[in-house]
Amino acid sequence: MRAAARAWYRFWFRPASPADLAVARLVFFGGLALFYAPHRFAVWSEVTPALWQPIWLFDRFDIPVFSAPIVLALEIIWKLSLLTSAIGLMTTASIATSAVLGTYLLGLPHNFGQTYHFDAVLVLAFWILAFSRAGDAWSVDALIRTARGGGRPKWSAEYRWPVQLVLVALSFVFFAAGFAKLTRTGLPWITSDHIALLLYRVQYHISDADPLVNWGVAVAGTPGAASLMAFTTVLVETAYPIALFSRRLRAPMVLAGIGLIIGIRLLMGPTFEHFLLINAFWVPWSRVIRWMRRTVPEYRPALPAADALPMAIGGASKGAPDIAVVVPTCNRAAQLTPLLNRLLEQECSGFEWEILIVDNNSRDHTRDVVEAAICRDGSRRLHYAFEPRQGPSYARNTGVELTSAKVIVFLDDDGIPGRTWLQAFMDAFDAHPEADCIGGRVKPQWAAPPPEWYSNRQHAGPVALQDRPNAAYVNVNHASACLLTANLGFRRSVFEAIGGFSPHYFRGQDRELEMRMWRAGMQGLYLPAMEVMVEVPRERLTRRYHRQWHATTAYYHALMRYRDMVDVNGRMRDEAPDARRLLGTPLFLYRAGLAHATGWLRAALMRRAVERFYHETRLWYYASFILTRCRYPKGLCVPGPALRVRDRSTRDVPPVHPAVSATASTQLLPETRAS
Amino acid sequence: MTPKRRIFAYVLIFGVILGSAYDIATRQEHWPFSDYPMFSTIHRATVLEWPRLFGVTADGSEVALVDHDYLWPLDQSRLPIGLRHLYRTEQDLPRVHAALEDCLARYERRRVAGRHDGPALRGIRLYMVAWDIQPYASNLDQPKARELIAEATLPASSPLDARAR
Repeated sequence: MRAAARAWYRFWFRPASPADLAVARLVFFGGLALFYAPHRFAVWSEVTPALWQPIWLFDRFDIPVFSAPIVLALEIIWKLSLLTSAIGLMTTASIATSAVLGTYLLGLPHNFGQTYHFDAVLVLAFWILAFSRAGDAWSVDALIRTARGGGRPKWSAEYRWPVQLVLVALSFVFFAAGFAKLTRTGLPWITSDHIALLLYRVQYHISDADPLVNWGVAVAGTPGAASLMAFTTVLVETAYPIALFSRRLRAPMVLAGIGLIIGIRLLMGPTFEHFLLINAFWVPWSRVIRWMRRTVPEYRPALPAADALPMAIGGASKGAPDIAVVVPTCNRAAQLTPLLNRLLEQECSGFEWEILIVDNNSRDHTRDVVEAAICRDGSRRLHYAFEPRQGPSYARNTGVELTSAKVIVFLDDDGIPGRTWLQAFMDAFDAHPEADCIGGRVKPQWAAPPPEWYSNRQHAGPVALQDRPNAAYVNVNHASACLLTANLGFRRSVFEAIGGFSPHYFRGQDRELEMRMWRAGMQGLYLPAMEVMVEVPRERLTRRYHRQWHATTAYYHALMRYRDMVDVNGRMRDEAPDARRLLGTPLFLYRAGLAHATGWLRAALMRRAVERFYHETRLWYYASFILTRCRYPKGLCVPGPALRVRDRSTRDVPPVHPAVSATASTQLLPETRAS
Repeated sequence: MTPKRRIFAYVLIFGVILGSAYDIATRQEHWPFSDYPMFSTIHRATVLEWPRLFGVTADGSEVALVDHDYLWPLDQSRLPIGLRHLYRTEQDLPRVHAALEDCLARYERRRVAGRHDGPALRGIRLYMVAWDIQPYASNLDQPKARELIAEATLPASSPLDARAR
């Protein structure tokens, strides 16, 4: 029952990209605006009242036939509203107008003798979209909002339920048609020569339009062909709702449905062309857009030829660099300039270095900001690359692929390093050949004073700090600590040996990569000398954020089996297949959870709010972990992709457009949860 | 998504689902909801009976009015079915008559306006026509039988009628 409720909820309200709804809106309304442009509805006002046989809607609500000038005015307004709905200008009002007037105008002809069924679902779609937020993206409204400084819409359930509801309405159309055939006439509809007769009958001009071809006669004359056609029709119609639930069968079913409509038009005559437009809601537009950006370089503005080499923008460095700084960034153009300035001011000597800003699908003017910095940079160390696939793992992997440096240091776009930060990294890697990766200190720059319950010891994780005073190794024997990619350098050999960051973890990619490192016998080192200041925004200092952070982190820990491989003492071990578990969770975690529950109760009784909240955050962690394990009892260990790590000798022939070979299977994965 | 919006979404979701399911289960039509019964009726008879309009020209000959442009926006499905409903179900011949007069006036108006190139008509007749179904409708012009249901003619004083003559 709970699983069914969860499936129901996910079906309607799983967050979706605004593009899925917005582009479907654009195609749907744009197509209808073109289709109905030559149609005239006012002529129905001139049809004799003798033929007036009102359908339920018009009869029940006494909707009259207005005079021709009024219908003409309504028609003009409706067509304009279709157009403004398509481009997304005053979207909500436009679609509402489309719905109200569309219901009247499309319903009007059905009152004169016969109800056709090609536009009923369009009217339902109008009403569904009228109450949606279809204009949040890919619209004039969105452009205006952006120009006024508004943010980009995030993934939300608001962009899924309208799409799903339109598709459910469409599925009802097909299902009802198949169901009506089976229940009204049953198997004879398939087995008799009924379809053959029907194909002959339509040649006598008895439909709203004649068949486009007379192949129907040939089909009717071929033994068995008509029955096969009838069987296929009923099968496609009754099974059509499967497309809502089965990813594998979705494309075949939708294509079969489209084929059915086209077949009816070709062989039998009834006009359903505009009905096809509703199939725009089946298309996962956000994925199509991502694919276009990946495969069609012209989709982005062309780069000046001189700047197009060797890695997107920025030109070639003087020689093969020894160290590269890779900064993934997304929609932080306004905050990027201080970081770029500080990176270009690095005081380094004795080695070559470069900076690679990987724009992770930003919608703001990130590119302009970086280009401006590139123009200021006389040393040609700064480069820009664009990675359309959303996620820091993709961006970091692209950075690794695009550079040939022997050491790659990752820095977050909200960090500000010291002036000698890069020199310290280079010195550290020279001084510690035993370390495969070295992480530095991440210190806070508080946007607001931290709350009284906050302490670095207990709550540093959610605010992404790494502020320990002493150096320490991290390896198979000390695996509980995690070096943060906010300030972490790797030898290139690491990626050559174990691949890149797994794109399947929106959070905890660094821990997942490090677990693979320690398992492969590598080790890391924490040195406080390399210091980065990170601004801690107010949002990260709320109790709510901390609870969510612990729950989400536990989700990914459960998936990557972190707690199965690292014991309470921080030692990494092979998983014992016969380890004692309950609901897929190791028993020792229940003990740890119970200890926190006891601690929480004690703190609550003694009114120690700070201590109580500390225990509460841990309880969120264990609860989320156990719930995730109930769903994925064995976790989902997905390794990072093998990267096309560039040979340092091939420095001058890099790919112009970044393309990471994501070899990891995506089929095994659950929906990744946005952090 | 706020709780209010979620409740609102649920209202729409259940509205669409229940509306569709109700019509399917009860075989009713509450447009835009429907049970989509198109083509679900089985046709076993090898004889096709269909109401058809014929125009009467000045010399008294008849032409079938099957061209889409003749009576637009009334087509060869909606108009015959609507007329059949009037004379067979409602048995309201005066309305059939009125409808035919409208069709004749519509035809002539469109002809005079150059919307189609059909011949001038002085009358219009509604027949129930029967054909033995044949491939490619090869006997379209030689129906097996036809029965006059109603007819209408232009009034003598009509300017359209004068043009027709």
